[in-house]
Amino acid sequence: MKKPASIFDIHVHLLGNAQLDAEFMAFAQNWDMPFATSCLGSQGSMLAYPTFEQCVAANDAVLEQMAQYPDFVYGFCYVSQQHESSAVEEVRRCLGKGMRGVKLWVAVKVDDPRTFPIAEAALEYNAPVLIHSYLRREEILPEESKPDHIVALARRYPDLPIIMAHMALRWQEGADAVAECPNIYVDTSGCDPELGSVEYVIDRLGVDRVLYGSDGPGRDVLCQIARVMAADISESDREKVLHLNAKRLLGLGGAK
Amino acid sequence: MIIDFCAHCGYDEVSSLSHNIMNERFFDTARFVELAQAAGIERSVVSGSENESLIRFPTLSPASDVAEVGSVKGVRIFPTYQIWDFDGEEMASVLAAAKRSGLIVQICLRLQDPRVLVQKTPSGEVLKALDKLAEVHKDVRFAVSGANYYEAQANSALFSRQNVWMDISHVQHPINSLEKLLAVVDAGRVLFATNSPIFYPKTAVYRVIHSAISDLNRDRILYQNAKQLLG
Repeated sequence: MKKPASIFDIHVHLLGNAQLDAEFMAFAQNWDMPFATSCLGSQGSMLAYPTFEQCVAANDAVLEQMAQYPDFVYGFCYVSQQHESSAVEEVRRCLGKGMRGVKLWVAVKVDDPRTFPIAEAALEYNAPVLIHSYLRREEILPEESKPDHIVALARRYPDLPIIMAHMALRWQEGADAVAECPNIYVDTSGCDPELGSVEYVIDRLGVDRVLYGSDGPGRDVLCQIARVMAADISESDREKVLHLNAKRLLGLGGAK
Repeated sequence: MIIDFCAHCGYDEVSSLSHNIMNERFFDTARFVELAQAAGIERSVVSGSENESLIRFPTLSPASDVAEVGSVKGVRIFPTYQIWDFDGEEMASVLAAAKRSGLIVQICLRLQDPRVLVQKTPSGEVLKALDKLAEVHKDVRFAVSGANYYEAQANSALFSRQNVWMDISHVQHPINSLEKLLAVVDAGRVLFATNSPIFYPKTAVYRVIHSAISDLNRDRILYQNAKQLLG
């Protein structure tokens, strides 16, 4: 039950909540855990339907954190497809300033044509697109992407690396839905540590497509790490999930 | 030594509602025990089985006859998944049996994320009703399973009662949640629990071992509090 020697968190949020953000940074430094982060609202709230100006402010907060912690904090640019050409320009601005990926949340389903120019901009930079996905039993967010929407985007852009976040919550159905799309990865963040979940997604997708993530600091990062440490997998597979796959995907040969 | 105050082993009509495909394998007693032992857990409170490492708290539904539970240390109810009227006759008979026989009444709120396994009654409503019950029935010991940190914080009056304990199986938000929990619930009434085999049992052990809490509180949570409560 020891600490892993190396770990990279692919799914973190800068909340704009001073206490939680500071706690996360202290944890990450204590565990020597570089991470990829996006900000979904720089005022301490996560904005499902942000204005364009709110997206820019959120991304600026991430750029600031990247500048403060180079080679430790890697930004993902948050945009809403509702902003169409402005969102594309924001993706180019942020990736041009060193962000490593794009984050799409729940404003518009990702098979909507307004997503396509954003995907094409990400492709220009070979940057992965991290897409929130929850298969809920009861719908509360009409534009939340399901695995099938992500598959549609992945098939349209087979060279675009896509990360389906949270293993879609219901991990068995999520992994089954995306198994045949080699450019879809999953992260283990933001859902409960259900027995067999890590083993199942590795079995269905192959270990190279499974990434550790926490969804911290809203989630307890320790519980999310513990899930991967508890999984009945080989040590070489655990290393791939914990950090090697993410570093490969983000092109971070020199990361800690 | 580690005592798991809420796990699931043997047939139980409520816990078998969970959607984790791995469950079937481990509701079997021998496999469950093997899984628990691999995580370093020596004793587990479960609903459907009993042996030297399993302490049985049979699950009661509102239709159950509490007189039929036999010689046990506690009973388990799932008021978020089955409709329980805490002011009704069924609960009155459970409380009467608890007083008569010293039974612990375990209130299980969650088996899985409510977005996966929908609750008929939200946890928050159950906790409010339980607060009234615990205040009136001070001689009954209640162990709450499946509450999260925010619910503990929002129901601080309930969780400060001397006859109420809380387990950590679903304390998974936000960062440093166990440390935060100990700021709102007395460490002497926090119980270790895994919710296995729905969750990995090792994750709960790992997070307690690596949390920034004192060794004294770690020992209390992992086994001393449960040992004392179980007598």
